[in-house]
Amino acid sequence: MSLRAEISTRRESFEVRATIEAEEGETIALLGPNGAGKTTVVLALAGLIEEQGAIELDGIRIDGLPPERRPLGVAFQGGALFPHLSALANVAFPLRARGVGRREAESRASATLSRLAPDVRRDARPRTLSGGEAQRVALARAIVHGPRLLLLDEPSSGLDVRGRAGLRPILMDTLATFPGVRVLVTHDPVEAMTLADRVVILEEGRVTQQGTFDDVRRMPGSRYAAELAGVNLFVGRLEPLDGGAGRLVTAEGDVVVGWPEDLPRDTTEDVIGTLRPSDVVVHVEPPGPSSARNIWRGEIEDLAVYGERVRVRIASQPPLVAEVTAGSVHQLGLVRSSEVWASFKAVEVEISLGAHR
Amino acid sequence: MRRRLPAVVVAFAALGAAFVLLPVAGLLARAPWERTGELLTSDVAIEGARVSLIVSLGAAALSLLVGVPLGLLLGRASFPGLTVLRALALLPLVLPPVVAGIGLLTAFGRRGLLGGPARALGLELPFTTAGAAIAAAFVSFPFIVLAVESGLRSLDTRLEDAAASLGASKWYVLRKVTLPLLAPQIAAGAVLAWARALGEFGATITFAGNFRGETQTMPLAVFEALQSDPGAATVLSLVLVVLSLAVLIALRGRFVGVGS
Repeated sequence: MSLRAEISTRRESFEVRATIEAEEGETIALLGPNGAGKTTVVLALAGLIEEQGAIELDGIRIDGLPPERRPLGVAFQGGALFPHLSALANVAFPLRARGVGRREAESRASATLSRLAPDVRRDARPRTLSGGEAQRVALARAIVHGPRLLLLDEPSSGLDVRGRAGLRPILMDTLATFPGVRVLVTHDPVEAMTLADRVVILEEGRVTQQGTFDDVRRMPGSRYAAELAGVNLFVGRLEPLDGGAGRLVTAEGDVVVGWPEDLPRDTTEDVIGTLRPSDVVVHVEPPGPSSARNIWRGEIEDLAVYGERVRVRIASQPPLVAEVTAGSVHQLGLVRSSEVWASFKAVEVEISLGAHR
Repeated sequence: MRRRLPAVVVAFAALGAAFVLLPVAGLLARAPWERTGELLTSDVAIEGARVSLIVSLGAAALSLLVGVPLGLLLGRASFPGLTVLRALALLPLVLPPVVAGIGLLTAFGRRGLLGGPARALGLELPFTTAGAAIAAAFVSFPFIVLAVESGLRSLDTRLEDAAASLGASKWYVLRKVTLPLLAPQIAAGAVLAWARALGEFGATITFAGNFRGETQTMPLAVFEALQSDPGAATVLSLVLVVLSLAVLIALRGRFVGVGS
């Protein structure tokens, strides 16, 4: 099974032209900033907006088909569960719509719910569900009828840290066991990195790069991609420290981070911390007292120039990427192999839970 | 906690309440209570109530049948002339009912546009109970059109998109998603339409006449009684007041947007 979609659509003054390809058993992440046209692509694939292009699934054109005849399952942003139906009836909906009898539809829906949302009561109304539960029910509803293409639109948006952590293993499992093409739409690089095999980067309605995360990391195709690729990623165990802080213990060293407000103050495994390179300050001498809780020393491994910005790769423990202006590289006299100090505040590290094991 | 209101507002609100209360009080004061039992069990009252019930419920059903699709069309379709069609759909709301009655006569009357074909099919509308129901439906169905159209405007269309993407045909989406989600608005519209049909007078008397047991609804019976026996008219009026009030209290404003 494979997907080849050339999407071309215009909504008022906004135009999306994107080619997306994916193979059977592959998860691709459609990654891009807000307003890049990601949801437009989802709607176009699902046949919910007018679109001139060619969408081929398993070599069969589906772009001429009305939405209800396209073999896909969509988990919409926020779930989009039917408020007047129970959780079970929501999941049974795609089967009932295809003429499956009530009893069989409900028993298949119930089996899917048992796998994805065992704690959700079958007769619960959507408004009584938490965001994470609603998303699980939406996932179950998207796969219950055995579609060939699974579309997940921002599955963890709007969820808190714990909601995300609870959903992540379900997402992983669903994506891993789904026998077909999976497309994950997200603006969260960590979600894309941890769940997808390949990324397609969409900016202002155009694909600016596609490939594996390593490809993007090695040779970012745009500023946005460079920003994603350069994101400092720390994975490890989070231990509480005094004063609302925590210590993220990674294989390569420790990072002091701000403790997430909605997380109980217990030692937590499989925590992901991300840090934007532009939040890292580079010094040529040991910095004086400041509010930065992380001050690391290391040699400059590499300097990469992107327009007016320069990415500085520092071989500290753990290694870091900092982004500075071309002017400050000049002013500080930063060159390869020179020794520098890098500092950043604990609160700049963004925490999410549920890393790959 | 409820916010306190300025005294002026309370004063005018009291005036508003009195405005409704006084006529009811007047009816209660002038009703010939000693004859109540006799009047309530009279043929006029019983037949009037029966005809009113049939006509108003029939009108509500007819209104639903045409009002819901028209509301859906006005809320969803886009074509030239939409504005004109919307105005037409709401015309019965503002038209004097007697004009509506004359219009119905010229359309469905014996010599009306569709009178011949209708008679050929064995359908006799003017001066029949069915005709009275049609007259009442004509003036009450705009309430349903309005309710459906405004309901559509506040409907989350993503839910219908989701349904379509999950394999539901247009018809299935309408039956299982759109209409159930609009149910509260449709019910509100139906209640208002029914209430309007119950009070219908002008279009009914013009198009269907005033025949006891056939087309003489309560309002027509009240009007007739007023000319010969004003006391009877007040008692019959009170029946309508009690009936209407009972329905409104039973609904507790639930279907007119102020649910409790």
